[in-house]
Order: sequence, then C-alpha cells, then structure tokens
Amino acid sequence: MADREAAARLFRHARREAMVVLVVWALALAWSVGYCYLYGYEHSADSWVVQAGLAPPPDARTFRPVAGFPDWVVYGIVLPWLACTAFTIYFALFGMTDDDLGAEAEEGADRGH
Amino acid sequence: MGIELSPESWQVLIAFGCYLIGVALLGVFSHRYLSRGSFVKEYFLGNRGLGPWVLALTVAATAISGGTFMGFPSLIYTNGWIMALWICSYMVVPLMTMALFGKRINQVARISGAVTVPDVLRDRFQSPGLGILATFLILLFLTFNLVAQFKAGGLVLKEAIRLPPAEAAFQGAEVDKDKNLVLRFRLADGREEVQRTPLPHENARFLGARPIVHEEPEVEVSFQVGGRTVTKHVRYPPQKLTLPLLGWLIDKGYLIGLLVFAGTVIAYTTYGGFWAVTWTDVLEGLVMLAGVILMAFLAIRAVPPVEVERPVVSASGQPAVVTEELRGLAAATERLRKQDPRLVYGPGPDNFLPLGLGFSFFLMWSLMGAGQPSGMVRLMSFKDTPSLRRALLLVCGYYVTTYLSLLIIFVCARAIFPTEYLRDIGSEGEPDSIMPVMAREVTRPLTVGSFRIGPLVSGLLLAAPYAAIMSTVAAFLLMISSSLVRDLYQRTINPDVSPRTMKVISYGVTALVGVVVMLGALNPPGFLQYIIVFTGTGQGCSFLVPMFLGLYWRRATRAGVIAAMLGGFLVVLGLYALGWIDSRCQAAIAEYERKVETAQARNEPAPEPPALARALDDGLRWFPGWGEKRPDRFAPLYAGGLDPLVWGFLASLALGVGVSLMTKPDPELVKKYFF
Repeated sequence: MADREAAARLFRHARREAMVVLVVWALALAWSVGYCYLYGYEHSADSWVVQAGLAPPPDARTFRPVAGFPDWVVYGIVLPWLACTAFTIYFALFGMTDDDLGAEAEEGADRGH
Repeated sequence: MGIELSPESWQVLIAFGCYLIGVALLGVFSHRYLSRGSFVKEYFLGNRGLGPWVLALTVAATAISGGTFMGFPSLIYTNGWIMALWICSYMVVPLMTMALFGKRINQVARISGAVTVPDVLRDRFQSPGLGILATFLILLFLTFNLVAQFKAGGLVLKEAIRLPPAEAAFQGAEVDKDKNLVLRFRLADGREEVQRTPLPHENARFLGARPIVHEEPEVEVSFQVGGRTVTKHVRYPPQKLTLPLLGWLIDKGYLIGLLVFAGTVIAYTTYGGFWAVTWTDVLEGLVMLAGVILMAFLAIRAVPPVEVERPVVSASGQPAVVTEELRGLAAATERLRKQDPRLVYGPGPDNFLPLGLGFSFFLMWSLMGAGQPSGMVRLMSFKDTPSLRRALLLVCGYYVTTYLSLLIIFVCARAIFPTEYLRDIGSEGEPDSIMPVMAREVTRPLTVGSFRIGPLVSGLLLAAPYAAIMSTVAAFLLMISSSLVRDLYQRTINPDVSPRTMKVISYGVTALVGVVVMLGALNPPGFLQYIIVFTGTGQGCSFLVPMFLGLYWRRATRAGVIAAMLGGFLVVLGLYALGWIDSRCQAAIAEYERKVETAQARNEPAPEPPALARALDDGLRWFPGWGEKRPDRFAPLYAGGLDPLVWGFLASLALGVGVSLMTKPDPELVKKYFF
C-alpha cells in the first residue's frame, strides 16, 4: 500500500514538473524568436511590425554591439539562455522533488515475457 | 599499403592515439561490470546504475554528434550571427530532454522491467504490435544515421592524417553542364582521374587554371564573378586503392580513417556494452568541452584588430570623431559587418533563416532532443532522482558553454578567413572543412621553448569532433543491437532463450551490425546530410508524442499511440518524398524548356514533353510549398514555410489525442501504471 502511495506521489510530482518545463519552453520560444524577429531582422518601412510600432524602421536602426555580440543576440539569445540556465539550476536544486523510483520488476529482463 | 606522413601529421596522430588508448582502456574496464546480475539488463541498460556525472555526460555526448562539430561550424562560417537563433533552443534542451520524462519513464520501466524503449511502449499498452512497430522505426532511422556518422568519423581521421595526394600530372580543366568545374589529371600508372568541384557562383565565368605548389601540389583556378576575379585552390586527386573482393576504388586516407574509427568503436561497444558506451561518453564529453573552451580562447586571440571611428561629444560640447581599436570578438563582429551586413542581422545571407524556419528550428532541437529513443534509454538507466537532478545541473552548464563557444569560434573564423572557405565566393576549400582548418590555424603559433606544439594541440582539438561522432555511434550501435536481440528475438521470436545464448547473441549482433554499417560507409550515398536530418526529425515525430501520452495520460490507448507514431512518421516521410518529387519535376520541366529553345534555334523538331512531370506539377501545384526554390534536390517540402518536423509533430499529437478519445483504455493497465 505504501509502495502504491509512493508511486502515485512520484507520478503527481513528475506531471507537475513536466508542466513547469512546458511553460518555460513556451516562454523561451516566444521571447527568443519574437525578440530576434523584431530587433534582429531587417523590416521594410511598410511591414506590419514597423507600422504597429513593434520593430524599428530601417532608417532608425543602428548597429550596437554589446561585449562583441550584436545587441539583438545579447537580449534575444544570450541573456535568455543564461536565464534558462539559472532557472534550470534553481529547478534542479529546489523545484524537483526526490522520489522513490520503485523496485525493479522481477520478470522481464532475462526472459522475453 | 605504404603511408608517408609529414612530421606535423605524426604529431596530430600521436594526440589522436593517446585519446584512442584512453577509449580502449575504458572499454576493457567496463567489461568487468558485465558479470554482475542480469546480463541483458547490464549489457543494454547498465542495470539502472547511472550516477549524476555519467548520466550528464552520456546525455550530452550522445546528443552532440559529428554535425555539431562539422556541419554547424560551416553554417556559422557561412551565415554569421543568425546561427545564434538557429541553435538557441538548446537553452531549454536540458529541461526538455531530462526533466520532462526523466522520473516517469524510469518509474514505468522499473514497473515492467523494461530494458529498451520499445519494451516500455509494448508493456505500457500490452501490445506486441506497438513494440514491433517501434523496433522497426528505430532500426530504420538509426541504420541510415549510422552510415552517415561512420562516414563523418572516417573523414575527420582522414583530415588528421592528411596523406599526400597521388602522383599525377594536371591535364586541363573545363565546366560541365551541371556548372561543376572538372579538372583532369593523368596518374603515374597512366589512368585518368577527375576532380569535380562546384563553381564558386552560379554565374561565375571560368578564366583558367594552373598547377602550383603551396603546402602540397594544387591547381589554382581563376573565375570572374560580378566584375571581380576570384581564385579557388583544388587539391590533386587523393591516393586510392582497390578493395579486394569488392573491386571498389577508394580514397586511401578515408579508408584508413574509417577502419581505425570503426575498429575502435565496434570493439569497445561490443566488448563493454552499455557501461563502455557511457564511460567512454564521459571521456568524450570532457574532450569536447576542453576542446571548445581552448579553441574559443585561441580563436579570440587570433582575430586581427580593427579600427573603427566613433562619434563622440567633446569636452567643449562639439561633435567629434574618435578612432577606437577593437580586439577579439568585438573585432570579429565588426569585420563581419564590414564584409556583409547580412552576417550580423537576420535572416542572414540568401534569406537563410526566415521567421518560419527560425520558429521551426527552435522546435526542432528541443522537441527532437526529447523524442530521441537514444536519450530515453539513458533516462531509464539512472539509479535515483538525486542523480537526475544533479545531472540536469551539469548538462545545462555543458550546453551553454559548448554552443556559445562554437558560435564565438566560427564567427572569429569568418573574420580570420573572410572568403577562403566559402562555397559562393571561395578560393581554397569548402565550408565543411572550416573546423579542421581552424584547429590547425589557431594552434600554429603555439610553442614550448623552440619546440612547436601546435600540431599536438591541433590533434587534441580534432579529437573533439571525433569524440562527438564516436559517442553518438556507440549509443546508436547498442540501440540497434538491443532492438534486434531484445525486442525482436527475445520478446517476439524466442521468449524462452537461455541467458547464456542471449549473451553470445548480444556480442555477435553488436559486432555484426557495426561491420555491416562500416561496409555501407565504404561507398556511402552523397546526400547523407539530409538523411541525418530526416532520421532525427522522423524519430522525434514518431516517439515524442506516443511516449508523452503513454507516460502522463490515463486516457491514452493502444490505438491512439500507434496512430500517433505512424502519423508522425508518415507525415515527415511524405514531406521529404514530395520535396524530392517536386525537385525531379522542376528539373525535368526546366530541362525540357532548355531542349525546346535549342531545337527552335536549330530548326529541329520539338522534343517529347515530360508528361508525368507536367501532370504531377499541375496536380500538386495547390500543395503549400510546391514549386518553391529549395537549397538542394533532397530538401523536403517546407509547407507554409515550416520544417516537416512541425507538421509531423502536430499530426502525431492530433492523431494520438483524437484516436485515444475514440477508443477505450484498458482499466487494468491504467490501474497498473497510474495507481
């Protein structure tokens, strides 16, 4: 009975952690692809992203390197990457729980059944 | 066969030799583990005993393949900083590959005693058919992928050995109808040999060619491109030999490289099984990490400084201009901007990464990584959850260091060699050789006293891609072997086979698979890069959704998971097949139109039109992506501007959920796996 409770607990924890992972994945996707598209790509003056004020028009853009990287690489990729790394470290240390993985089934490995 | 090598090549080989001895010793050491407990579980799964360090480095080393160190660098060199967006989903790959499934797949595998990925699916849904389908897909994808990896392994060692070219006399050069430059040579034994190389640009005009001696004999070819004269250096033909029995004429350097590579990796994988693969992964992972960090440091130092003018406001409030000297990465980025502004902005040269593909690649690395059966097996093998958590810490640090270092190294490479290794402008070589070239170039000035240690360090740097290929090959080799031995033979054909027989069969099949793949790599087809991408995409789309539904969704059913697996696979296969058909149709129609023009000019009767190509083109014109220009005739159809992975994944998800909702799950299985 205790084994089943431990197994069910692991399942609940694993499912919660999987949901957190998917949320982080979606946020990283939205930020990196979105930011790089708006500030790292060249857009014509009549494109909808410029018209909507989301991206700078071609005559207003200047090349600004930060520590040798183009600025859009720093804000769209390097910083989010470092943020994801920091979150992963936090998640591994404090977010994920330690659970009993359960005993190995007797049948299986050495027999084909 | 006699081998003449330069002193530099010997130093490179000594460094390689040290690495290979280390790998061999680990293989022998790992064999001792095989006498513990169940042979099958130990040989194919390490008896679920992986600790954090081994788990972290085996996950990372298996995911990083030859493409990471050969194809990716050439893409950075050619396309510049946009490659940061192309690769950036590795920021979430540790979470997606380890935290998404880790605990749960390990728990489910323990419940049924599963040893392989098909085992997990088969037991979770009590479906031998599902197990066999999964086994078939793994065999299909991994066998093709292995041929490509073996080829890459042979090529890296060939580059390290650098045999001198064959003795030959240059006869002349011409441009053929496919826009290839064809150089003719007469070998010492009287045979004629040709070297083919793409024109530096499709509109390049061939001016002439002359033999020269640089570091070795070469032919310098001149072209006129857009009002400029550019040169390209083409090597003399390689030394070749005829294979006994098969009668194939093979490049001697490649053959030596392939035999050494295959011999080492087959021997240690067969002898040591899972433990040999994972322990060598640890060594290979450390070699790769040390290699990229050292190379990034040396590459930044090797970039020539550049001066830029910067507007400032003087103390008196007047606008002024100051000259500033940039060094290191800042100088490299500035040099790229001056070469071509598209190298520092999206979508890169030649519209390399439009928004749809940028989005697709983010999904590709993160979803494909999570859906690889070779990664799932490693998650079935860790010993406890603290090991998983600590391994996650290590892997995220490993990826950020490796990929950002590679970006920096090959942006610097473009600054150091502005055109030399570009296919479109180029002079000396092809972009795929930029990794070995950088390894040689950045280590050239290194000395200890009066002794040049550059070649020795270069050998250690070249060991990094070699290690990457080796770790992937070993993992895939064991996966194929386990699919044949465990999933097909033991679980389907002969369930009562004795442990002793299983032991003999496991050793025999692993070695046999390695030898067969090596024979395939002796004369591999030329479009392997697309096979690698196809197999990776196909695996991701076939396994990610079925495994996710099976592990986390009580309502998932056998029929739903089979539909998800087949749906993902068939959509990816279909889009690749349609891409190939489209390319063939467009080529046939273009060829017909060219023949019509020629016939009209000569007053000859019109040729027969390509009826099938026309019919297919008319019938499929409505399909998104049909008829659009693609980078290669083997490239897939990018429907809606998106990679086939996106459509395969969506089809798999829709079918998996839809069919599961239309069918009923087995209550006993739900109780067994969801408590």
